[in-house]
Amino acid sequence: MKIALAQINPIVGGIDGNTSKIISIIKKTKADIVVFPELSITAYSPQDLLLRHDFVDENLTALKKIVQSTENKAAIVGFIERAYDVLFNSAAVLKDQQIVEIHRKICLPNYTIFDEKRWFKEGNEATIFEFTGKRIGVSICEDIWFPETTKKQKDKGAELIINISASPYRKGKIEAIENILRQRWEENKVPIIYVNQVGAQDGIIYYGHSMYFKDGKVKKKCKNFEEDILIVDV
Amino acid sequence: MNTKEVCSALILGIRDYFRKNNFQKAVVGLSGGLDSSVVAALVVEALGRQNVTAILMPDIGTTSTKSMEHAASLVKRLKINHYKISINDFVQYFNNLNKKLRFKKSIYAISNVKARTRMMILYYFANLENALVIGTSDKSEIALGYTTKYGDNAADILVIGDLWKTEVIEMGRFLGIPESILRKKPSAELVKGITAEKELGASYDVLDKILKICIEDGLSPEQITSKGFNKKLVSNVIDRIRLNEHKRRTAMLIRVSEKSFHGMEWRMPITNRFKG
Repeated sequence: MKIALAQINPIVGGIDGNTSKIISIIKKTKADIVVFPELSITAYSPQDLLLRHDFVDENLTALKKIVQSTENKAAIVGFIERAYDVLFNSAAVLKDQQIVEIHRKICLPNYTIFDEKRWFKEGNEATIFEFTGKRIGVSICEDIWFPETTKKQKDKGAELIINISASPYRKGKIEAIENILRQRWEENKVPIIYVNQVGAQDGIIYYGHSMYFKDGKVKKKCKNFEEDILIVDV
Repeated sequence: MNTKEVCSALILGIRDYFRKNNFQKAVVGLSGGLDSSVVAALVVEALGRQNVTAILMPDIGTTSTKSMEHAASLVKRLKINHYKISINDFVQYFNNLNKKLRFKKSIYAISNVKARTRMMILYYFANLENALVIGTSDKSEIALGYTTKYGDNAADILVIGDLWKTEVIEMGRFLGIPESILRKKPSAELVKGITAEKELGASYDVLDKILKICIEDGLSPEQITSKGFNKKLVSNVIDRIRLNEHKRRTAMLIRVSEKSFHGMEWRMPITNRFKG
């Protein structure tokens, strides 16, 4: 199975431009699943734009457009989900013009530059989906920094974990994420696809470094600090 | 510090802020000192030399010849467009005003006039060229409040605002800034012959260690002192951090409505393409 790690540099609030970019990559990339970063439709972090109903609506309309572009294709995109009048930071698994699964971010970071609990409610389900006979766990950013979600996905039979992130840079962060993926590998012995946003948003830098982690090491990785698309055979 | 990696991060930070907000040009005040030299080099790297204008703003009689030589040589090295505008006429205006109003002479007030005059000149050029002003304050200066409010701390981007002074030296070395600039004793050159370290009471090597432990590790004054630092110095540093909080913010807004622009309430991104 070929998976494309679409490490894009979306613009906060630029839903039209981000959506066009996502659709164009889905259409031209020769892979079984094309994976985009966390909140890829709106870019991370929209901050208080999340309090605006019309902003969330526009992101949902964009998701529908992306769904339509997946004829004979599959993709994972990050979007804002609205349910029961609350918002979730979610990942949609799209296949053949359908949303086949949704994962709601479980671990919402609320420290240093993060304030996700201001806008989102936590999910509670360690999601897995089946794709051409393979069971795949989906998680979002912080979910992979703690053992529980990946462990639950492994217990449900996951043979691969796909984590979509918008992980900001600080000194030492790139080593830190590699160490985290190593720990998850050691605990579960399940390969991990990590797709991170790249680019800068108001002084917060997203480093990219999307990677395929297997057998305790980085097998393949995207460039740091620039857009990149990497196709890995899992 | 992984200087190469941090350098790439800073360049992306500059480049994306300009690109995503539809700006191409930058204006930077060049003093010939460490911070502005490193900042100019980073901005040139991020935006291309054709998009960067350096403004040299000497205070004749106070700014050292060495500083102007260093600034001129850097401009040449980076091959950037530059203007040299003395601030003396502006400062003289306030000196005269002082005399006319029979106020007591204040070195403090005049020093701030110098920094704010430079800010006005930078924003004047920025407006003419539809450019953004690049700030040159580093993390040590921001922490200690060793800046003039709405003077040198007024800018659109603080490129090295999260690098300690000692890290700025490292970055400068990585970028090929001449050692004569990197090794020079830092000075705001607002008052002749006064170095920053003399005003702050210790070298930046020592100050950065204290600041780092205090800000990044969150240690108490007692814990910092127990690591062998002078008790009075630690106390002064901590006082400076606390008393200068206002310099790290825009003006305090008094909230009386359900939805205000108070910083604790209004958290909108600057880079924002949503027009809804």
